[in-house]
Amino acid sequence: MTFFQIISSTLPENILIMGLLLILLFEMILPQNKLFPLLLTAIILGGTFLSLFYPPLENAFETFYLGNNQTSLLKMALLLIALPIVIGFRSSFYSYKAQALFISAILGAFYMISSLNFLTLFLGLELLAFPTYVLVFLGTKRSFSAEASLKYLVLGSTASAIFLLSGVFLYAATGTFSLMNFENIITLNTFHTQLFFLFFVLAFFFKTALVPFHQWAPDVYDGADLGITSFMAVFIKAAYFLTLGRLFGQLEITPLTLILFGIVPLASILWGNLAAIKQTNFSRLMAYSSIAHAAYIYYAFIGTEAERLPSLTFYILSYGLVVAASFITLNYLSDELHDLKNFKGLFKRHPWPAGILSFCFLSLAGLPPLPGFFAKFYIFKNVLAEGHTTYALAAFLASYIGIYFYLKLIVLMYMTEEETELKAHRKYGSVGFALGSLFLLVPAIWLTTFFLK
Amino acid sequence: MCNQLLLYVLLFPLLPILLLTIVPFSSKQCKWISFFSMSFHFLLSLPLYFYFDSAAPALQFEINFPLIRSWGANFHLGLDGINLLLILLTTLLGPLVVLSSFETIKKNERFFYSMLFLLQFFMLGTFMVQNLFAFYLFWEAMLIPMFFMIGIWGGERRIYATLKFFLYTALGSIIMLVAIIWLLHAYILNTGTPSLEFSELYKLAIPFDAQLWLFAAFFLSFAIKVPLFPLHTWLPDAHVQAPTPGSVILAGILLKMGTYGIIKLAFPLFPQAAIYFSPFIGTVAVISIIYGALLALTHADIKKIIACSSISHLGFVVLGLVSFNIIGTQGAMIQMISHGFTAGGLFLIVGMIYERMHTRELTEFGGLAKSMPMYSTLSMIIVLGSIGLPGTSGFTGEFLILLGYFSSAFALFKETQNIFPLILSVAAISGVVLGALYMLRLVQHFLFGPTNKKTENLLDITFKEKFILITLSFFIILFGVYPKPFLDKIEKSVENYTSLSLRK
Repeated sequence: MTFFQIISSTLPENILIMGLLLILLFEMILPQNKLFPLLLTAIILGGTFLSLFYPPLENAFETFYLGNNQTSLLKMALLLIALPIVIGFRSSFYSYKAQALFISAILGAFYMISSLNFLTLFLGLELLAFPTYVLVFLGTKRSFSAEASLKYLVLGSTASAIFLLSGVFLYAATGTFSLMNFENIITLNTFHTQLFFLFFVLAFFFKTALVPFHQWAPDVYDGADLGITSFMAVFIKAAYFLTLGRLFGQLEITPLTLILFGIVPLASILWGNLAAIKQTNFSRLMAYSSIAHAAYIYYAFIGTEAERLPSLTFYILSYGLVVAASFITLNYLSDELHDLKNFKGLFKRHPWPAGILSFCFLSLAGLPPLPGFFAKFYIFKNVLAEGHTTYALAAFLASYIGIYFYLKLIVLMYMTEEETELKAHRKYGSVGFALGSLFLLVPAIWLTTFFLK
Repeated sequence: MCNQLLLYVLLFPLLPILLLTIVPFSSKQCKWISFFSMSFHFLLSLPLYFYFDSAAPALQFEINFPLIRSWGANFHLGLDGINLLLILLTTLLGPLVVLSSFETIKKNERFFYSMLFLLQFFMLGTFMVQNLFAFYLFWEAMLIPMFFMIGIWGGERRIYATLKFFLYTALGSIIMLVAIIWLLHAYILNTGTPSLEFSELYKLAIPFDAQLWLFAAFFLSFAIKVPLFPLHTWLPDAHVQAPTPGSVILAGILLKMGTYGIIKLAFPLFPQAAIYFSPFIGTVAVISIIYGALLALTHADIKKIIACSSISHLGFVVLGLVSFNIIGTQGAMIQMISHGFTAGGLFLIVGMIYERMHTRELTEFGGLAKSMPMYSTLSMIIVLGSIGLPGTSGFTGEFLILLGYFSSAFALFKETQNIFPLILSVAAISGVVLGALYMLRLVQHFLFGPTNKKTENLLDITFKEKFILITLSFFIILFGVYPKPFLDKIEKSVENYTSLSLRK
């Protein structure tokens, strides 16, 4: 294995590592400045993005690391989602420290997507999770964000522990940590592989905040800085789901998978949507909404095999970009108050932000002709193609509850007279970024079509 | 003739939306720009009627290009006798609605008129498309502008009303969506290629059990929109709370979406299920006719009376459709158009008087015939059209419907000795009598009788208002006196769709 092979076979990750080292170096040399860290990150991410166009010809770590067109596309999707967050929430990521953590989280996500081995996957998982714990803690001035951070740390570690436990069963079943041909491991169908699968999935349920492992999400979303919240709601979720999408792409549908991906998520949809109705805080509301949305994505795994990954990626992209846009818009209005009271009469004071927000909410509610509808349609079309009509019907009916609270938000913005005078930052740039993030939906659609080829 | 005309008619409303969104017009400019755009839109759509070849059963002015191939989703527009008149009704009501909102809409005019155009765009799309996926897109998207319209510019309980309207209709649509996806897969299984084209789906042989479920899913969605008893409860709330232009569009066009869906989709897609359910549908339709009329008799709020009369009138439409013969279906089509004129007109009448009196309580009116003779005359024409007096559009519609239903009921009686449909048709005729009763009660307290302090000094209607009401009255009488050209235009397609609904 030559040095060149090592560098070229994991090129995007290596660029990220180099960038990470550069950031740490510059933190020592250059003064703290608002522009430099951002510029540096832009260069690093741009370089990473370009490197993704050249899939590695040879692979030096063939039992650990997978690099092909598919993983490159997934990583591109991930960068696409990260883009509006880095730019839209410049203030959250101004420091070198935050940038370094951010880059390392992306690195973790990349390892996860490319992992062929349980150990690589675990490495990526932790590399993604640890910077986030710190980011939640760093990104705010409020006292209870420490609580949120701790909660996230403890519960996130629990998830990691469950994940490790699944590794034990994997080793017991197969004698290796290899995750190559994931579907073949599951089809062995021994007691150990079943336990492995169960714990593996439960760990991801924990990470993606599915009922009944969702309690941390509202608190953490509420406690963290808005930029970090959107980073968690959008980027981290996307990383987990894209990884799962690659691993579970060929998974056979068995009674166990039907329970895990057809019935457990139903509880999330119901509870996420019902609990969201009662929220008075925007971040908490989005947390519950994201609980419901994560659940829809799991339905992709009981759909047609060939279309699982495209449908899932499209859902992730359309959901992520819309949520990012809504958070960026909110950031424009006020980054301290997330109280829904401040939504009252928003349309009168700020018609453009209100318009963008209503686009986002209607899309999240899954109403045509907005992207959220196409995403839902795509996933559930595949579920029905496999003949699981009742599951799809149940999920649709549960999602119906969700329409109510998104509409309530619009009612607040457009149809309620204002009570409090809210001072906006008047960062008109932010509204532009929010719009820009919505325009990213176009390349998102374009990217998704590549999965079908 | 330009083949793309239908496409232009559909896309035209997007232009004023863009203009109104970008340029900060003053409210007066908004009004006139909207009015002229809508008038131009109507003129643009007129050639569709004259160049529509009534002898050809096939779709005309077709535009077809694929949206998403693997979902069978095409952007397919086409004109036939079923949607021709509804499209023209939509574009005709457009300028009238804009005129009526000059006085009623006093805040956020730019946003209001863009929503109006958006609604127009979605409604036209729903009528024009010939692909189930595109149909669903437009069908569901239509709720969004209406939601804003009732919610922002509505009455006191507007938020309750608009949420109720949205959630009621969305529930039906969601279940219909599952049925649509199911149909897509059934088509793929049968032929190997995906398609959601109406014409392709009509050919699909669906097993009877599946048809029952699918029909129920589609019919539920349409029945909520119509609305049929007992799914009608959203309607009075939405109508009463909506601003006048909103009510006019809701009654004039939106409600027809349901009956249009039944004739275009529910019946021809699932013919066996349609026949199986037809006694049930007939019963529900007759209950709607009578129940709506009785409800209208009890209310004292004029807007509520008219809203309830809509339930009754659309019950007739559904009754005409379940006759499964040409006369009944033609009658249903005419009744749909006629109801667009009469119910739309009645809401406009109420809107005009509300602007002057700021009340809708029946007891506070009286003697308008003395103080506002012009207004009263035109109102009377529209009311009589609504009752179905011979010589008005309402008569043409209701008469053909009853004739059609009776003849099919009588044929069934001769064949199977089943007397039930005959009883239904007799009961439906009592609905006509009840209709006259509640409408004349309305007119009696509203236009006639002694004047009171409030109504004594009212000014008669302005030129603008006269223009609106005269236009509507003209069409009401035209459809009543000489409906032949319109019936000719739709006959071929009606024949086509009734035979589709009757195939085994």
